[in-house]
Amino acid sequence: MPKPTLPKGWNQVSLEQFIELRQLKGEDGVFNHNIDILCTLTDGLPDDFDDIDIADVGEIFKELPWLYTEPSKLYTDRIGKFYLKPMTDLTLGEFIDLEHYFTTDYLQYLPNICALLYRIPEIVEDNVVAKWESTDFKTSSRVHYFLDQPITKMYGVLTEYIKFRDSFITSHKNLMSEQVGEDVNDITDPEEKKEAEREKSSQKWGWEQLIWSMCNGDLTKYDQVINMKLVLVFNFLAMRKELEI
Amino acid sequence: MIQVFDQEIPNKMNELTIEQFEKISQILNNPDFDNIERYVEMFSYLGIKESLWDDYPFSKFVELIKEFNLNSFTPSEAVTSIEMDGYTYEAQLKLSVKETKLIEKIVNTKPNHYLSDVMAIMFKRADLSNTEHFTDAHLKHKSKLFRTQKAELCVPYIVFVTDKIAEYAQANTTQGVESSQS
Repeated sequence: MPKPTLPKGWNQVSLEQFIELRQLKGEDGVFNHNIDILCTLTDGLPDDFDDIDIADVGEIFKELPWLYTEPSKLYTDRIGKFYLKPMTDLTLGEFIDLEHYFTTDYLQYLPNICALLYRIPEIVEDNVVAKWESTDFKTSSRVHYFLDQPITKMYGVLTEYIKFRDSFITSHKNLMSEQVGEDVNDITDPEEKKEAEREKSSQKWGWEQLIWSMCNGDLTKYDQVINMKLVLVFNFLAMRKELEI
Repeated sequence: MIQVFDQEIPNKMNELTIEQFEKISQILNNPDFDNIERYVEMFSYLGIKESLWDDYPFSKFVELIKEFNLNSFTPSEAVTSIEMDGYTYEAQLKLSVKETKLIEKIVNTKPNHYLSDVMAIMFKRADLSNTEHFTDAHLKHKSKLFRTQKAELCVPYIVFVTDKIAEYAQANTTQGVESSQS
């Protein structure tokens, strides 16, 4: 069997392949893991490698040292018709969705994260986006576009977003509720238990409570609120808290 | 064979079947048993009633265990052709990628019949194609047939495959991911 054609670096690995590689488990042993990696990198099946000598499998991996490094943290501002939306322009709704993706399983949701961060501009003036499209689209309908792109185009955006998120959360620490770490069932004092339970359900409905409060209880304003800029919403909340209004 | 009470108990690789050897290995590696329980359970599997040990001196029991010791076996040359149920099965001390994949899974998960399962992969029925050889039903059927064979048959193959897999793992253990600098 001729030697399989393999990527020479992360720039030849698509986002879809990257996710698959990171999700591979080594529980069936090193050899099985290596064959799974080869299948991912060549979009092949295990049977495709039946005629290769075992020693040759080891040799192939010696030519893939980049596989054990992280992809470059550089990223592109534009992928096809999609432009990278500045983090400071994110809306409350987009931030809530990103929080969901990052806290649930960021690897699985990588294409959705890209579909949220890379957007189609509505108006571009002098190569600068003057107006972004509305959030009225389904990220799932765009994920296929990003899955085919080289991981090096967007990998750095993830770390960039994490930096932005950390800095945002730190600067608005007083508005973020602390996680109830202890298991409520372990609390013996009835008063403390009641308080912890209240805190826990408050966390569960945290974003809904925030939107409800911003809508002043009028849910017809829901869309307007979630489309407001994240920074504006939190600055407004900070003001309300400071002035106790 | 060793004499235990009034019974002859198989203790050599050319006396034990692969199935008996698998079962004994399971019992002796069972973490739920202490050292004595393990051997009582093993002798019980080989036909010695547990109650017979009640008045048996402990020092003699230890002697019996020493006598039973399975580790004194020297592997012989690998048998490369065997007839079972009217068919010829052939094997080579050689592993393809597919065989290695299947065997590595078995070696890592150690199912109850892992020795006979490995033998079922190594030995191919001479009149069948590779496609038929690897079907689940055929492998299961062959694994059952091999359980009735003497344990000495599997030793050279088990030594060979575990060596090969360990050798590969040692040379190709997955490295940790280095952080990118850019």
